[in-house]
Amino acid sequence: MRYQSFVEGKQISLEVKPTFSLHLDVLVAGLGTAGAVALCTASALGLHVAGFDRATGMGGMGGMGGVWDYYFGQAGGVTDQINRKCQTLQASGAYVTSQRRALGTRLSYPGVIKSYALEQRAQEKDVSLWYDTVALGAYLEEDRVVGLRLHDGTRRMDIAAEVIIDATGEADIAYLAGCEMLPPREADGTYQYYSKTRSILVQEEGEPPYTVGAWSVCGRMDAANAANTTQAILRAAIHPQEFLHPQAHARTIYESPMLGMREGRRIAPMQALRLREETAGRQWAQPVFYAASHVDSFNRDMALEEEALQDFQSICDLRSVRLTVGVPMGAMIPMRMDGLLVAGRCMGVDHNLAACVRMKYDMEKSGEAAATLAFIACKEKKAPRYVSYEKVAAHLRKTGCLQDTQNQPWKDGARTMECTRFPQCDEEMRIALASDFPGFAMWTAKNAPARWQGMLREALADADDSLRYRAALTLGMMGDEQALPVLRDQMKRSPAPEALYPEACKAICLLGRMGDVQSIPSLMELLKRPLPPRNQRATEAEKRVADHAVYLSLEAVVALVKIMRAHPAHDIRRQMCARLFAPDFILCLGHGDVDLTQSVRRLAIL
Amino acid sequence: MQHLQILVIGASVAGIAIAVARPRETLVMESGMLFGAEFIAALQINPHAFPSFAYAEARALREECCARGLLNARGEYHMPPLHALLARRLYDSGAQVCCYTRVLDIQPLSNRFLVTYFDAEGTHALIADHIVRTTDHEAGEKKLCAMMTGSIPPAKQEGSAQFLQGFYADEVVLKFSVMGKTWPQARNALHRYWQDRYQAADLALRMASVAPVFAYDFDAPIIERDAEGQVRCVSASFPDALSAFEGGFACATNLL
Repeated sequence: MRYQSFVEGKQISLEVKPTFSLHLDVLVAGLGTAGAVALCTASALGLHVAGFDRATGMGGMGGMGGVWDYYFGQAGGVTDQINRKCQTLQASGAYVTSQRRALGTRLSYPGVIKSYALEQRAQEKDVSLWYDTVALGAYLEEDRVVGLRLHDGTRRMDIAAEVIIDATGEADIAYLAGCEMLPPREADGTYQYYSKTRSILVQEEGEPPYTVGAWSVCGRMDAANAANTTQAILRAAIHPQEFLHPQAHARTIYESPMLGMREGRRIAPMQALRLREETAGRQWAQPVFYAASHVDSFNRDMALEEEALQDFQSICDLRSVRLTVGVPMGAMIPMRMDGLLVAGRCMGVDHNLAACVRMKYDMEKSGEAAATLAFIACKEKKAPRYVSYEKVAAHLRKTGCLQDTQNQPWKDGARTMECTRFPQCDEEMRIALASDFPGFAMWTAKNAPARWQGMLREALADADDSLRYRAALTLGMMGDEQALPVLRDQMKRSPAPEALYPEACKAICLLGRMGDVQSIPSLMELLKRPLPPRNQRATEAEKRVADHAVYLSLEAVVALVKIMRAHPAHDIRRQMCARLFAPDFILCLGHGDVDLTQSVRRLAIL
Repeated sequence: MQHLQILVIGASVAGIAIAVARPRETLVMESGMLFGAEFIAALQINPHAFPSFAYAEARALREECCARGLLNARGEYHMPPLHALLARRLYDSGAQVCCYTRVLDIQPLSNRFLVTYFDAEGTHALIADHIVRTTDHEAGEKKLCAMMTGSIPPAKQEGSAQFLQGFYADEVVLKFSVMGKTWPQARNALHRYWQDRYQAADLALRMASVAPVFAYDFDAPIIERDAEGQVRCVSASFPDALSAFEGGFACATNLL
């Protein structure tokens, strides 16, 4: 047997003969949103189960973390039973509620209730809970994880299990075991934004006091990097939001002991979920539940994102669209590793879709699905990868975790959640492209160039500006150079003051992607424009105008780099660097808390 | 192997004060991500009149707390915003800090210590000339606190439970004795007590949150050097956060 751990940052592997103090069916690593439900499910199915967490309670961000209004995703499964217990506790009157008029029929339970309900549920059976506990190393036999070495703050424990469910959020166990991971964002190796979270007590006229989870977006961090993590924690703790003068009617009552992570390490699974493969209404292979959410749009440095996400969120402007994604059983099973399943954020979902498949209900369902798969694997004495999907699906259908009716078409959240049609013929495409909401049509055409390219080229000569422009953007996503003249023209558009993102960024992005040498002078001119100074007291409108200038500069740098890479003879690196390394070139978003200066400088010199 | 002069275990209030007092020589290791958790996250409020502070930094912190409306003349705190004030001081000090880092083992060597610790990148070792332990809570009386909102009950002490008035008129802390209990046992006892108490008398009081760390009550502050030469400056043993900040400075001045 091998013991694998990391020493001074390097993975070591030692031959050992451990004495395990406990042999379990299932050990759940991480008792957050996914892990807590995995533990409750495994226990209810009669497995000998234990769980541990670095925190001192269950429920993760929706329990201990201070954010509990995030009830996106789709209801169903074991979670519904736990939520009924929450409902009873909330109705007792002994607790401050989080339900309020503004939420309408949407349910919300304060963390104090949710984490208690989860712990009560877990303890209905004889389950060991180890808090303040971390995994120091993993025991492996060949390519199978058989146990973990834990540390609970005072002692080490060696625990064996038939199946370990890694619900740590950062794939800590999979990483210890040496599993392959999916990459973060390609441009700069970063993950989605993280937040500092807290709970606020609000007293409004006409309402009883209620608690809300609140968060401040603080930047990007890599939780696998110790120094980076500490910097991120300190940065979050001194975020300007933290220094606001407390008000009796809206005051912080709880500082969360964890950061709100939108993305971290994710396993390379048997079957990965990727945004570029996502198509509305598709039949999903072996789904264990249907996740539903928009793709989180905090990642505003869109120029550095991957093309699939740029197309989806920026160019097609599908930020408000709620996707339904069938999460396959294979997304929970690491490649080439047995004895291990993952649940929650560390499932095999690519960087782009990680900002979508992360909602509370969805993560809870992933815990239930992983525990169900572990249960059948234990019962049949098989590695999880060899368990029949049909058997798992049958279990999950019974509890309501998997509901085929939840495989919904895309919905547009900004437009009262009405289902939106995908164009079927040229006329429908023309109408949709010229409409106020052309995103679905653009995405449809981008994914079927052979069907739509001819029609879009004709539209480039149309008298309707909107139609011409959207046709050019769509052709640009296809890499069609016929779109270039329209895109060059659009690059010069001034941003509308109320827009979140300047329209010209879309054209710049595509011009860069297509390596358009003719755009270089205009892009350099854009880059040379002075950047407005950041002001902590700026109004929202002032902040937006300043952000527009940053978006345009960032997009211009990335486009110039791409053009240079496509055409090495056009080396404008020296002129670019003279601007990027000038003392007044500070590329910050918001109140100055998201600093992109170093990222773009690195990009330009590499 | 990294060699440093002072290793402070715990980003407690006293631990932060030591780092602020001796920033160049100090590394603070914190097992979680909260600062001053033994008071702020633990909801450890002990309203009392403040003594005069000997150290300018402690006086400055008290003045900032008052100016920001977190502390009144009766010694009542509104705790959560104090977190940012402490973090700012730690950040500005330039001292090294390692969050999510737990000490696994300390071996005494001649005049220094070999420390093994664990963080996101695995197990590491370092040599420290001085160790300051700020989170040794064994000698304290273990409590679990909950933030409540409403009116404080007429009976402020009731068996294991004590109700304390907070900074705002409707801010009350329920402090519950949980000696010898694990987290699930402690939480269960607290919730059961509160549900029974609430049902027995229709109180105008609701539970809003439960502390994610235990509070500890001590008879007297602990600042001492033990037989192995390690310093113990137990932050939670001070009666309040500002006194712990002062205590950290005293420790840095007198024992290091």
